[in-house]
Amino acid sequence: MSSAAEVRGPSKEADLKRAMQPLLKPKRRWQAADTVIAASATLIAIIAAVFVLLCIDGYNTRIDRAETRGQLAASTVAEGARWVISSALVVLDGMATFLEHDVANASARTLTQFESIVGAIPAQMELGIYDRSGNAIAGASSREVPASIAEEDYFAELARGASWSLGAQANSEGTGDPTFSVARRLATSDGTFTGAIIIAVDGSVLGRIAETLDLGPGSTVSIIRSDGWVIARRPPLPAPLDLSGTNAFKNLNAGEVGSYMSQTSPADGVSRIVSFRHVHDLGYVAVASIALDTVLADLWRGIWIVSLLLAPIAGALLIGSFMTARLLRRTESTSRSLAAALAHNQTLFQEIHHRVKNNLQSVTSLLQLQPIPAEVKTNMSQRIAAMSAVHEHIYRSGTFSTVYVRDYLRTLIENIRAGYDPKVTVVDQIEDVAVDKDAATPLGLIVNEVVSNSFKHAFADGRAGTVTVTLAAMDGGRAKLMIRDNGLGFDPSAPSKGIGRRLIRGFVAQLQGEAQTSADGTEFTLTFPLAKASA
Amino acid sequence: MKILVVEDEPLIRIGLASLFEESGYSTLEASNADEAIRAIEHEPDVSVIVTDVDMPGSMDGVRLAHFVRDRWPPVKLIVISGKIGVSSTQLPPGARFFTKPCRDDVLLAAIRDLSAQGGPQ
Repeated sequence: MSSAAEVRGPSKEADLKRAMQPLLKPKRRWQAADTVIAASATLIAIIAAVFVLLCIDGYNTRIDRAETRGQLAASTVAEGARWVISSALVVLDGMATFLEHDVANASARTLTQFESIVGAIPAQMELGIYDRSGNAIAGASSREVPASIAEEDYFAELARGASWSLGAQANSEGTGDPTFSVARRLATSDGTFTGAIIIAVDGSVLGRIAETLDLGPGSTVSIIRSDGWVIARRPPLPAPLDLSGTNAFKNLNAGEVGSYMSQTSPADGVSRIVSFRHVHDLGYVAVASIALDTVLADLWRGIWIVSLLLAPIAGALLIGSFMTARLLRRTESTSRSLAAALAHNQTLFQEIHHRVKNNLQSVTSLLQLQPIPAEVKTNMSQRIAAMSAVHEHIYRSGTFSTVYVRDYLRTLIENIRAGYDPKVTVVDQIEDVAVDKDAATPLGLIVNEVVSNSFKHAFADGRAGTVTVTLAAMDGGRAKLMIRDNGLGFDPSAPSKGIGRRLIRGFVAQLQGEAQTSADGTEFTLTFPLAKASA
Repeated sequence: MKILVVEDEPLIRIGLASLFEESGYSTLEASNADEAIRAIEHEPDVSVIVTDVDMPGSMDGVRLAHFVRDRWPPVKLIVISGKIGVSSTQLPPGARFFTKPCRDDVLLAAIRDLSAQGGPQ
C-alpha cells in the first residue's frame, strides 16, 4: 500500500479483500490453453480442406477421363453400327436387283438366295418382303419378321418415297429378342411404290462392339434414331423407347459429338457419363455411357482408406490438445491461486509489521504514563525505537538471513542526533558489511547506547563537537566498530548509575565480540564475528 | 503553546499527550481528522498538530496535514506512522515525518525546532 488513499479505509479486512479482488476473480481472457485448442483445430481444418480439395480434383479428373473414354467408345459404336447398317443396305440392294424391283418375283428361292448372301455377315439378319399394303409375302420372308409392317413408321416413310429407312427397336416374332429393321423401297421404273424389303438385324450385334470396349459394370452402348427412338441398346431394353421430349434427347442434340452427365437415365434410372457421336448420313446417334459408380469406384475406395487413416490422427490430435489445454488451465489456475496467496501473505505481513510498530509505540506510551523520571522514559523510548529500526530495515530490504547494516545504522544514528543539540555533528565511516540477522539488533542497540551516551554526556556543557562512527570488515570474518567523540570524556572505571553499560556488556556477549573503552572514555571499540558462530 | 494530538488508539494518544504535558505544553486530543478539524476551529491557538496516518473517518493523517496546511498555514505539522509506504514526500512542505515507535527526545526536539521557526512555512 503506497498511496495515502489506500492507507485510510473502513476496515483492514475490507483493505485485504480489495487488494485480492483482481487475483481471485480474473476476467475470462485468452489463455495458452485456448491457443493450443485453436492451433490443433486450425491444423485439422487445414488437413480436412486439403483432403476435400484432393477429392474434388480426383473427382474432376475421373469425370474427364470417363468423358474421353466415352467419346472413344461412341466413335467405335458409330463406326460399328455404320458397318452393320451399310452391310444391310448392300444386301438389300442385292436382293432388290434379284427381285428385279418387283414383289411379285418373291419366292422361297428368294429366301435361299438371301441366306447365301448374309451367311458371311457376323450379325444375325432376317429377311422380310412386303407388298404395298405392308403384308409379308409368306414363303419369301423369314418366320422371325412381323406379318405386317403397315403401321410401322419406317414403312410409311418408304411409301412416301424414301429409298430406304431405319426402324426403331422391335421384338422378334419368334424369339422375342430385340431387333431393328433396315428397309428398302421397291418401285416400278416409273417410281410407283410396289412394296418393301426389310432386314431385321439382331440387336445383340451391339454386344459384340461393347465387349471390346470394356466400359465396366453399369455401362451402356446404344444407337438412337435421329427422331429419338432407340434403335438398339446393350444391355437390351425390354420394350421400345422414345427419347424425344426428354432431357437426354436435348443433350444428345447439343452438338455433333459431346459428353454430359446424366443424373437419371430415362431407360433405367442409373447415373452415367454419356458420350455421343452423330452419324447424319445414316440418321442415328451412337451413344456410349459409363456408370458414375464405375467411374468413381476407386475414388470412393481411396477416400474411405484415407479417412480411416486421417480420422484417428485427427481424433488423437484433438484429444491431445484438449488434454494439454486442461493441463495448462490447471497450471494457470494453480499459478493464480499461488499469486493470490502471495498477495494475501504480503498484505498480512504488512499488517503484522504495522501492528508490531504500533504496539511498540503503545509500550512507549505505557512507559510514559509510569511515574518514573523523564530521563528514564526518554532512554527507554530510544531503546524501543532502536529495536524497531532493525525490524523496519529487514522488512524494507526483503532479505531475512543477513542484514546489510550501513543504511540501518545511519538511520539509527540520524534518529539519535535529531533528539540532541544540533551543534554536535556525526561523521560516519560505515562499510556496508552484512551481519547475521540475529546480530543486527544487538549491534544497533550497542550503537544506540554508546552514541546516545556521547550526545548526552560528552557535550553536556553545550560545546560543539563531533561523534565519529566507524565500521569496517577485518580479516578472519570479523568486523570492527569504533565510536569516538571529542567531548568531555569520562572515567570508565567509575561506578555507573544507569543500565546503559550493563546492556552494552550483555549485547557484546550476545555478539560473541570483545569491547573496550579508552581510559579517557572518548573511544569505544568493538570487534565481533560477522557470521554466526556454530555453537 | 498548545499541541493537538490526533490518534485513534487511545493508549498511544494519551501517552503522547502525557509526554507533551510533562514537557510543559498544553494539549488537546482528537481520535480522528474530523474531530481534529473541529478542535482547531474552536481552539485557534493550537500551534502544533501531531497526527497519526492510519485513522478511520473522512480523512487520513496525510490528507489532514494537507487540509490544515491549506486552511491554517501557521500551524506546524508532525506526522507519525507505523505504516509501510508512508513517506515524507507525501506531506506538505515543512511537515515532519517520524515512524512509530517514536523517540521521546526526537519528538520534543522537533516540536522545539518547529515552534522556534514561527510563521507559515
